[in-house]
Amino acid sequence: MASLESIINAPEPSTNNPETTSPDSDSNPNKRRKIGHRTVAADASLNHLHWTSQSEQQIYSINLLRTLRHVLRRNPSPSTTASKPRQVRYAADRVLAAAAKGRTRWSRAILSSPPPFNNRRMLHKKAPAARKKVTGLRSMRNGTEKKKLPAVQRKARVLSRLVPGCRKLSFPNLLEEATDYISALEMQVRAMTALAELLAGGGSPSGLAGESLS
Amino acid sequence: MEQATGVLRGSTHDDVVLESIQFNEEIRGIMAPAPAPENASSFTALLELPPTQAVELLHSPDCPAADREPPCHVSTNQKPYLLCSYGGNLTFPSNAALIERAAKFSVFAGENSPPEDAARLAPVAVSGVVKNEPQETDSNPSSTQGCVSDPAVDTKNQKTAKRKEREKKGKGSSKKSKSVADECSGDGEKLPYVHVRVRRGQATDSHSLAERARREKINARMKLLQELVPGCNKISGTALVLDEIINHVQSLQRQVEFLSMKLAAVNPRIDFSLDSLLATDGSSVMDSNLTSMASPVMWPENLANGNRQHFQQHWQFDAFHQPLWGREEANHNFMTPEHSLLSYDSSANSASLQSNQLKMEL
Repeated sequence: MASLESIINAPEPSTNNPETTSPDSDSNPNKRRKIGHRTVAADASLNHLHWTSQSEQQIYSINLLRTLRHVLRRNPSPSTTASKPRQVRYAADRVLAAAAKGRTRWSRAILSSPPPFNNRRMLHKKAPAARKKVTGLRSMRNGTEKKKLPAVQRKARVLSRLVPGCRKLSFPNLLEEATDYISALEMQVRAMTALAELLAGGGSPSGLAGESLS
Repeated sequence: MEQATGVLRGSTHDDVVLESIQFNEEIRGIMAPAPAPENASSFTALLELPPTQAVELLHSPDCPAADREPPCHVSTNQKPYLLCSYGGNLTFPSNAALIERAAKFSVFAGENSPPEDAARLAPVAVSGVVKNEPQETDSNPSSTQGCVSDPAVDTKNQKTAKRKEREKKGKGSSKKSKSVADECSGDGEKLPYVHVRVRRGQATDSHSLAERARREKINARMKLLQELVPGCNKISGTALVLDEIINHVQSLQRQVEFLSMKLAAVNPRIDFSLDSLLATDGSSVMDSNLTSMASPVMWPENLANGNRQHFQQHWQFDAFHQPLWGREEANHNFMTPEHSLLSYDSSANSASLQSNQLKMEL
């Protein structure tokens, strides 16, 4: 695994450059095309191995634990408020993005996004305005013919909204980001389930652990 | 290397001929272990040469490689050096299998007459080859010099082996590669050119080739995603696969949401000394933007309080950690000292050692 990780770290800057320059090369099809087929599989397999490694999960768990302490320390309110899960989620996502070491777009987007704003008045203001717009468009559309984008493109748009920071990305790059994002999410879920089980459900198996935490 | 430089220093025609002799001997030596069934010897020999000499040899009598007896022998290491000194769009393979494949599939930039071995292939392919040549020169405007690298050659060998099998099975279809590879010695995995398989009867203009390359890129990525998302292997069709992917991402995000709610509900009075335990070696961890807020201020306070009674409980808590995570070799620096700490029995010595360590850190 160590040698593999060194391989991961070494060519990564070089293999990521063609990814960023591919929009330029796609616009000039006669010029040199940057990416060979082999690099796609190589990149993805490296990323997948990165997110599925046990050490990565451990590192993530430890970092998550630290940030959780900070969050919970800062916010010692009772757990009935809805803002605490959101802050926990936000912290978990940030730690995950940090684990990606900024190699992917979604990680950079997560890290540069602001913390969640908990003001309820703002939310109420936004909603009626949005609703008005939607109904206006709908009435127009029922009169005229419905022009639907091809199904694949619609779904690609939905996917781009799901993956953070990928709104205006070309389809192949979007797929690549989605691959990495899914691997990272799976690792996040694994780590968080382990943590949750440890912290919340560790009462009976080991009484001492429960003592230390309660 | 000395022989090569000696060869290069001569500027007469004889030296040029000498070089070709050396190359031919080189090629014969390479091709001996893997003899090609086709009459590719004379043709493949040409591939090793720069374009001008290749054209010369083409018009010279057949099988030049069989006739000459070379005076000197150039080692394989020197060959790439020599070849790199010539510019050109040639492949410079150092293996017979590659030479064979290149003989069948590649196109010379400066060559106009089809080589004698191409007559063996279907006439359509040949005309396609001829037609493609000017386009090839257009589409490869800048030729970069490249040196052969072993990993690239090895991966190429595997690919060529597969392609040869396919070619032997499919007799009718003649395939040719669109572009000639320039391989850089630095990164063995990356090709600046895209290899596109053009089947017989398919359009070969630049637009469709570009589309084909783009489609192949997209299909490769979709295949990876299909492997990642469970249950996508049976589904065919991009739209349905995308549906599955979207569902999978949404379900994962919902799980994260649910787990964060669960974690938020955990009793926040977690021991702070565990934090300080982690902090001793945690400088190498990516904690820059996340935990730097109040942590350096908080930890000395906790240590000053001297929560020694918590240490012992910690060892047991961390021992509970270990079976959960398994005993994996940790690559990160800070993990190993932690493991060494964890391996201590929960005793007063370890606790005091730990506290001493922390105080020294302060």
